[in-house]
Amino acid sequence: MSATVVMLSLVLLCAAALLLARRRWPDDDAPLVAEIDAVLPQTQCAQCGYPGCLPYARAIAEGAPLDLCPPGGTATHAKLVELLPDRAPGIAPQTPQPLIARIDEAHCIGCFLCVPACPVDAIIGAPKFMHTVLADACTGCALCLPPCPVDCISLRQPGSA
Amino acid sequence: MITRQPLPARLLHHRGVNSQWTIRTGDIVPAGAPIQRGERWQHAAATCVVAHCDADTARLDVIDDTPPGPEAPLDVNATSASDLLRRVHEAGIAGLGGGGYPTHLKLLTAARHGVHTLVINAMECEPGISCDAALSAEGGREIQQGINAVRRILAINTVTLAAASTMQVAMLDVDTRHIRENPSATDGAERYLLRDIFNVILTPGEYPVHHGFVVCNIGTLHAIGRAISGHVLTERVTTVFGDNRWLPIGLPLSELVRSDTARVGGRLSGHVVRVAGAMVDKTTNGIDTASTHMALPCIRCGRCDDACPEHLPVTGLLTFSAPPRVGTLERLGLANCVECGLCNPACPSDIDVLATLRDAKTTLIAERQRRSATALANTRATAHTHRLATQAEQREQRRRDRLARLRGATSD
Repeated sequence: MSATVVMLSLVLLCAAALLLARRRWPDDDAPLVAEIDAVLPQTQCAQCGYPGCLPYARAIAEGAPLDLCPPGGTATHAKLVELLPDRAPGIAPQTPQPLIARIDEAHCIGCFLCVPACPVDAIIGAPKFMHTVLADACTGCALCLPPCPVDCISLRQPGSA
Repeated sequence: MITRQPLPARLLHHRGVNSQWTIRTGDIVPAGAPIQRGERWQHAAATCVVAHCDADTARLDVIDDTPPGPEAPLDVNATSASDLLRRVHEAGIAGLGGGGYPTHLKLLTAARHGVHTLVINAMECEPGISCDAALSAEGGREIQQGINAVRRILAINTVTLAAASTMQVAMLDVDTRHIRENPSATDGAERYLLRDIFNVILTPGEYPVHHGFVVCNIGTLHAIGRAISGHVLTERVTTVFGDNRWLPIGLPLSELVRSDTARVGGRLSGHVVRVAGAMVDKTTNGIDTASTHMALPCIRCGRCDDACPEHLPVTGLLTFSAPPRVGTLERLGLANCVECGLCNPACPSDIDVLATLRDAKTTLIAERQRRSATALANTRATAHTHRLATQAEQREQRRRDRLARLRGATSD
């Protein structure tokens, strides 16, 4: 009898301690967000409607759909579904061809509009000087295309002339 | 006597890593002219019309089979190291032992680290391959010239020759010799060569240059010697069904093999390819028939584990290779696999273990590249956001300061 009482009180004590601890230090979603962010392709293209991969990761953690990442393609979508199995999977986007931006340097007027638009600082240049793309850093997000007033930026396959 | 394969009607080429085509569809390329430059140069083996050239592949139709004429030869002792190195680069020399790594990059890395010893790798140990031995019998002068060139480029103190007893290397001018009767199938791997001769252990990820050695295949040295005398690399010696031949680089395999599949490389570490669309490249050291036996299921006997010279848990790697589980494979040490192929003959179920591991390794490397690319993008994106935020804050601060100044001025 006394054994039962002791065990029961221990259980209740532990439960109370856990409840208190949870109220005192609420668990945050940071590990989940980091895990989701690690799956995303980090192109920072904002095609999902969020201003970058980390914001989309935060949004997913709070319930955004899983099928909004076109550059990630089927692979990223599959990993997201694996990570969050109880969410509606949605429709996997098609995997696109990897592309990188290239500035036609003969037509660049050095307006500097594309440089701040690049989310990964892959365009180097200064006002009134020619700009160019760092091929290794470019993620092919296409965010530099709309600001260019002379349409001298195009997306090409990596390695093509 | 090494026979020469007649030129085919058509040559096939792939674009090398970090290299660009210098040709377009419809161009006429003279024999010996570059068709791609950049990190890996490639030259036309004959005068050709470019029948087709897209981002990654090119097809050249041979219109004249006169071999490329030599460029001006260089005098090794009267030429600067950088000019010799440029000649090695622009002649398109790559590791002919099977690695295919651009030789000028290897020598550049070696120069940067500072090396004291050149090891000539003539330990041709792959069963069924004898192209280096045949070359050593005929190309002694060129090999010597290659050795002299590397000696001058890197200011080498000691030249060590590690050779199988089948090599005819008696006339080479080297400082020390290590001749081995019947080398075992992994003796020619450079990490085992250094371990056996110099007692130097390379940890995974380390290369001989980190210990002051540069290891060059004897065929590569021959190609360097020929480059110094003005010949670009447009052909190589390959053991074709046991017979050694000079093959033009870009020769379609269908010119040599009638079946659908063929084994490229040696019987142990080679791999089976589909003949259609495949070609001889700078790494093709052997061509043989592919066996067509059926594999039985793995019975987990563990004989592949015992056969592995790197002591990898091969059975485990095999289990996690199809479909590949990247994290597990990485933890089990798949990256350390030297692809010697000793696991294949050990397997009683005739599983092509090496091919499976190679595929898994390709996945692993792609995954690593993806990971480093995303990590880079992530760092840069964080820095970008941070910079924009700081700039906005500074602008706001300046605005507030100005406002405060104006308010101060009006209240006075």
